[in-house]
Amino acid sequence: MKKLLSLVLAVMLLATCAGFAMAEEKPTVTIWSTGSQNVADLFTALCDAYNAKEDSNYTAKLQFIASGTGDEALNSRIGAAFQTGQTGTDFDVIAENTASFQSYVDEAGSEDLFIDYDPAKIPGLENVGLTPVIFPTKLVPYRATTVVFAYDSERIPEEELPHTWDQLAEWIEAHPGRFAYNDPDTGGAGSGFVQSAIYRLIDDESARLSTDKKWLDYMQPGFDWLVKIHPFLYSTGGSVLYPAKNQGTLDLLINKEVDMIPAWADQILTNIANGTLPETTRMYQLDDMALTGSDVSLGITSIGSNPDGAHEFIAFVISPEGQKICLENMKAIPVISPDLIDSAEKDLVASLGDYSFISNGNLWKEDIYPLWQETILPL
Amino acid sequence: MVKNKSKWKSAMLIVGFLAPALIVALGIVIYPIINTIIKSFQDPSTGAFTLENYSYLFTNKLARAHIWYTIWVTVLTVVLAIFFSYLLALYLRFSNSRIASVIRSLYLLPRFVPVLVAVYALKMVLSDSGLINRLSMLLPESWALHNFKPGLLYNAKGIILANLWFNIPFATMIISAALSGISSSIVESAQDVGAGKIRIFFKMILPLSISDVMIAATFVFMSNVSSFTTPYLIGANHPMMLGVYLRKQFSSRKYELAAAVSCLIFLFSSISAIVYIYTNLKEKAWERD
Repeated sequence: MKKLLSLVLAVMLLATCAGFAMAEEKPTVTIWSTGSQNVADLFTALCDAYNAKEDSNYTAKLQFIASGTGDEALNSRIGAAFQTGQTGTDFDVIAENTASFQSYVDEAGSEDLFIDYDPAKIPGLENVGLTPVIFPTKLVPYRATTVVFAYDSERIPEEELPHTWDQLAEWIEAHPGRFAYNDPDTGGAGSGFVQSAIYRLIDDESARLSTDKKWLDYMQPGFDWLVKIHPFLYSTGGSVLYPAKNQGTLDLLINKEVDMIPAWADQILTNIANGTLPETTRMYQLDDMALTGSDVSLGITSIGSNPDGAHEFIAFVISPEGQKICLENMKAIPVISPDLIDSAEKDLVASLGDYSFISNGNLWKEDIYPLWQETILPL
Repeated sequence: MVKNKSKWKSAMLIVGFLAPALIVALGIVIYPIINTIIKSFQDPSTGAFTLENYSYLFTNKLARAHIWYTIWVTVLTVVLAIFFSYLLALYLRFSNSRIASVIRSLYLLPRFVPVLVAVYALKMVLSDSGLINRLSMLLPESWALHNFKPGLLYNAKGIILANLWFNIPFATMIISAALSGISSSIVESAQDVGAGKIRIFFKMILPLSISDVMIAATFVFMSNVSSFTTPYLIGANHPMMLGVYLRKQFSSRKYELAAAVSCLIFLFSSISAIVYIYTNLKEKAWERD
């Protein structure tokens, strides 16, 4: 028995050494991303699959910074590296919500932080059906994601379901404590909800793609609406609570403490798939303005050390094989036609393409969120 | 001459032993503190000297709420922790029952449970859909306690509860050490001449242990005024403990304001440090007499 064990250990050791030896032959391409654990899991799976492919010419390595653990510093770090003229860094590929790329460019002070990709080096690019709203020559979308309203159809009958934002406010007031959105600084579901609520009441739709501070003057009606629903939101121990992180509201829905929340579609689907949310959970959007969503893109920096590796990795992610991983691993909305993907799960996400796109750079973090804090929290 | 040389040698030896610690302290403690103090007086955009960061902290409605909340939670934690610890320590010192000996060997246990684990355990039990709530669901629906929601988390109650969990064992340890220094013979002799229990406590035990109680109180104060993990995990969005507020400012890139918050926390801690040093000095003076 002991002998067998040592034999197994020896083989494992050899295999590891061999693994290292093989890895060393190929140059590394480093992928940087931020987000929740599901994004980390997705990229771990994508990197593993890419590295396992025999015809890969590079080794993909993941550097992941989880939300709320210093992710806000990543764009500062990369911006600083760019401004100090560093080259050959390991910032090869950045994977972020398309809207977030604006804050990278803001930090760097120049669009040249990202290179124009070379379409010839990304076979399969013609299959990608999405064009990013910003930096279309620099960013390649690899999945889409959206915030939706999620509810349990067992608990909210079809005829009670609100279909406009005004009806939603009425529903919330009629069902005190049964709706919650998370502190918008701690997760995209909450900030998607707050931003949709604010921007839907700004008539000029160009505000949604602007980093101009003048739009702050137009946000009062949105804040008024948020103030109006505040007393009827989920509360505990006698005061209203904005739970921390997307998971916070998700837990409330799972534990049946609330009936409806804004949540990321992929997180809802994942929780239905592993049984923590009931099969009767439904997702939908309001008719007068859908919650925010985003295509999530890959961008190649001009300060990285391996642009060729970056192109090859991107080509893999948008290939049917890579898209299948995105769909099955995180229930993401694929960017290529579902017909190209060989997966039983593609119907799940078929109806989720409808979302609003807001890209306001650092305006959110530096102005709108602090305003939310000062307006809503002391209530 | 020889004597002088060896004196010089031993002095060098002491410097040599102290140098690594001193250099490390300079680099990772003293320098950042000085840096933070300077930063707290700087204007975010120009870097010029300003009192703006501090005046914001003391005039902004939100920031002031956070400061009062922090003081309130910390003081309440100290008072409650010392009260329970003193009772527990007295019981452990003067009781010979089996229960006392069991508690004596168990009471430090919470100190050995990592903060994160303990806080998550509290959450599992106390949250509005936690263990207590699930158990109450088993009661008949007509009962008032059916679907009982403790409502203890995400407000000051939960933070104080968790603080007590961590600090009662610690304070009990310090106070127990002080009480064990009071010999049974003097208590017994006081009893022999007819002193009642209450009289013995106020005339002998309290004066003999008060300085250690103060020391325990300062330590509890210091570790809680700057606490982060507990209020971050089970505190409310508003008001926040200063540690959480500091982190929020940091993540909104208001580094100068964050520096001012750190200085404020530092100030609060140093007040309790002064109490600690003063208590120690007084004790020394007493020993001299």
